Amino acid sequence: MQARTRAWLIGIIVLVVACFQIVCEPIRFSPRIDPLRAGEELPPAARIGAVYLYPPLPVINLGLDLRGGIHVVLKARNQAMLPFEFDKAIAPEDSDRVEMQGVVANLLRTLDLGGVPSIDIATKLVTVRLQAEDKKQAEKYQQLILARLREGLGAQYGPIQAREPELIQMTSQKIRQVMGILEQRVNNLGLAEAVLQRQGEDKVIIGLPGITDPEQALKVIRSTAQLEFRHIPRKYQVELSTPEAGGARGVMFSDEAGNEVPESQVITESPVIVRGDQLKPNSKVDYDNSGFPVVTFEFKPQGSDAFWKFTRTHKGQYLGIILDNHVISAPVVRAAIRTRGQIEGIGATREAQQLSVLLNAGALPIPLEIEENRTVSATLGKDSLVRSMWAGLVGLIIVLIFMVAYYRLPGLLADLALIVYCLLVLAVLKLFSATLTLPGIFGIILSIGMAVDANVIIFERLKEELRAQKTLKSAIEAGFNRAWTAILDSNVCSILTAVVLIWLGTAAIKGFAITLLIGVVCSLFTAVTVTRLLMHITSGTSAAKKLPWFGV
Amino acid sequence: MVELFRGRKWDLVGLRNYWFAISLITILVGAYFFIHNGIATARREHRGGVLFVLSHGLNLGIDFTSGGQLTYQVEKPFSAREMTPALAAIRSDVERLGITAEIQISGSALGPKNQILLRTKTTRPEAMSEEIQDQGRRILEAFRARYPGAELVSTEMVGPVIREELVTNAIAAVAIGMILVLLWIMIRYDFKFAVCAIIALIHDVLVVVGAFAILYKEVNSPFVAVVLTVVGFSVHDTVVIFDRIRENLKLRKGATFGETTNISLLETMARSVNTVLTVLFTTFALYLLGGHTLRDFALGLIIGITSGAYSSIFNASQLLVVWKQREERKRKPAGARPAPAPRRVEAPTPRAIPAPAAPAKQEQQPSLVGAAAPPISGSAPGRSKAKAHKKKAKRKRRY
Repeated sequence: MQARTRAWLIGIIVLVVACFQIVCEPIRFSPRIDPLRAGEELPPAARIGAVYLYPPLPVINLGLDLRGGIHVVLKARNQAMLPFEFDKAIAPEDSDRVEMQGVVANLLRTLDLGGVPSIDIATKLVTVRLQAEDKKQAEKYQQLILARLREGLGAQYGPIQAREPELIQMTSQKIRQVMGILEQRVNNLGLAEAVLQRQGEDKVIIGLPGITDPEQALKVIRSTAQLEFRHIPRKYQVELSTPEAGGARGVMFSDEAGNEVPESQVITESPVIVRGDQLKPNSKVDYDNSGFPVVTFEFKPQGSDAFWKFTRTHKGQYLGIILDNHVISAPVVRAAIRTRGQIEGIGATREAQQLSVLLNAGALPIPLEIEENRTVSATLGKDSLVRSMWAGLVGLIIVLIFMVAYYRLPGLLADLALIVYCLLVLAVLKLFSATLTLPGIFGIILSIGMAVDANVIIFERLKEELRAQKTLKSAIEAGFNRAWTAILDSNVCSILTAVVLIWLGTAAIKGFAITLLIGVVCSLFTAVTVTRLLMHITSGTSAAKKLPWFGV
Repeated sequence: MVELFRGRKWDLVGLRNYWFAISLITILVGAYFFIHNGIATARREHRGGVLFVLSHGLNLGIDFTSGGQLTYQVEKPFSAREMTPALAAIRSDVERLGITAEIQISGSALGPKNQILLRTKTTRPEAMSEEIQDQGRRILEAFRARYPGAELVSTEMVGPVIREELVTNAIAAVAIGMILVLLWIMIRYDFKFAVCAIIALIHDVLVVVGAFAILYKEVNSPFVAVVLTVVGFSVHDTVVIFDRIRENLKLRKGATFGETTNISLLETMARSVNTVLTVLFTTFALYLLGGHTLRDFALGLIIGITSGAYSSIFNASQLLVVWKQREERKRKPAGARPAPAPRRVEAPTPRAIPAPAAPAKQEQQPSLVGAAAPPISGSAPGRSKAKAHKKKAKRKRRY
């Protein structure tokens, strides 16, 4: 064996060992962390001093589709504030606001405003807040509402003027704020590999692998955490429904006749007393006398004044505590409260904790709409993983057999190179800390087939050279050298298309394209370097003299 | 191992009109189904216009139409006989809940059919995600009564904004991918080679799209990956053959372009077939053993890669021959080189070719070797181009 060949051989052996260590991590100097639960360690198979030994199985981060989880794209929506000024006072006293809110809500109910608007009543001012993409849409809604208000209230309260609408636009500062709040919420879910990423101007991608209750998680993340204390009109009666399995006691409303009234109607008719932004960020979970969890809160000075004013004058009436347009609790005002209070009727401790996190992390400055949602259960993920692993294995074995059957000895060497190739691809994937997704596995399996191609080209050349009665050594050299341009040219095209897919593809396609790209590049290396080295080594042995072994 | 292709003297170039016809018919059948599907969709949705028909030739999935898809898994797989009654039962369950949905029972091709897929219609665009989650829960309750242990395993929802993005990106990806590949071939080969490779590539894309139109398989954004992978692979194949043609052109100065191409094709045939086989082994394994998600993906690749190999051998190279022959014929009247035999090879009627073609080759062979081959030593590692050519020439003696 020549010195150069030996150097190459040692180099490749080192590479294989390194790849194996990277992919399987059998030897570690710190315990392995459980990929599903942040902060928890996996017990090692053995431990010698500071060295932890784990079974030599591939350890690769699996994507959402292989172990369950959610991938959502949230889009920030612009909102419009539409103020309408009345000539006469529509609600001279605070108590009138309740009635007025109901009247306005009723008027707007049949309008097509793309969603349920939120209404605010002041002495001479009605402010309607709703979703609007741009100024044009806001103005359109403004015209609709103005016409309806004039028609319904114009006779009684004189001329109504629409003031300049205010568009609460998504700005990059706001989206940064949103990202900050979301990060806090996502971290609170306690997932080790949650992904939070901004996409384009106004979108946020959230990936939560291994989550057990995706719907609940989404609810917490997306919650605008719009906490409001509203004054529920006297005409509505509050009833507590029996606790559902899980614990939360639902709040139900009925009118004077005893008919059930939908929650959204009650909310739109109830004026706001204080909003959640008037809370200090020190809410926490506590338990009431009967052991039910409650969330305690404290008002900032301004909120505290408003709350004091309300509770002092409305004893015996209902107060609605509303989170994201859902009444979580409706206590009766028993005493005047100035700064501290607690929210009851939340249900399980877990939900109470989520609520306190929401209150403390702050409200999202703009609402987020779900634009894309792909949820995969752990069952399906595992199923996909097992199936595609089998498919890959079967495919690989057929290719290995085919190569030996057709190309004999060189085929066997190519098979060895192919196994090195598989290790190398996984190692590179891991070094780039890419996660393995279902399309990613597909990419790898596909690239196995393509990796062999370079060898096929070389071996066909080799056969031709051997038939021309060359010595094996020179035939090997000639085969490799002549085949190189074709291999390079053809692989460049695959690389180009893979790069385009990484650039413009969706998350799933990217997973595929990345592994395909890594696969093609690695195959250029292994198919040429490793196979050539192995061929050189065999050409020095007695095997070289047996031409049938080369399929000639 | 049997060597199927060694020493064969098939006249692939001579039969080119047949190859073109096969391609053309395949594409036309696909196109018929494509337009047929488009018109059917337009009728169903009471829409019209050429653009609508052309953009609905494929069974577009939620990525391109926006909407929701729910996947349920049941414990006991459906047997082939249970399929139809089960579908009817599921449909009545879903309709009773007031939900409109397209329903499909699926699973892996060889494995159990234990998945129920529903593409549901939504009514509230402003709260699509919530509506779909709600539908998912209600349908699950209904299923639980019928199939104990049923599970909602996947909920997918694509809103209109993302849909638009997916459509734009899909079109851009295919366009940019193809342009880059075109540029690369233009750099590496001359213009004619590049044009022929691109035509072959478009052929493959049309075949895959046509096949999906015929089978009416659902198309989502991974289809873009299928198309571009097929593009990459098709060029891959074509390049290997062109590389050999280019090499042989230098060696066989006397031969016509048609002959050189034919020989190059036969020489690379084993490689073309083997490469496609290895890739097909793995994709077939995925098709048969993989789950529902990957099956259509694998199917697209199986069709596309087979078509890619076909078009490289039977379209790209043959087109090049047609083109070059036109040139050769134009040059001839000017009275360049006398080469009567090869000219006959290029006679347009395919059947006339095999007979004269073979003698023509035999005549030329000796002179070629004589021109190019002082004996070379076996041990030289042949790094320089000149040496490589000599070796090639020596090998040609076997022909």
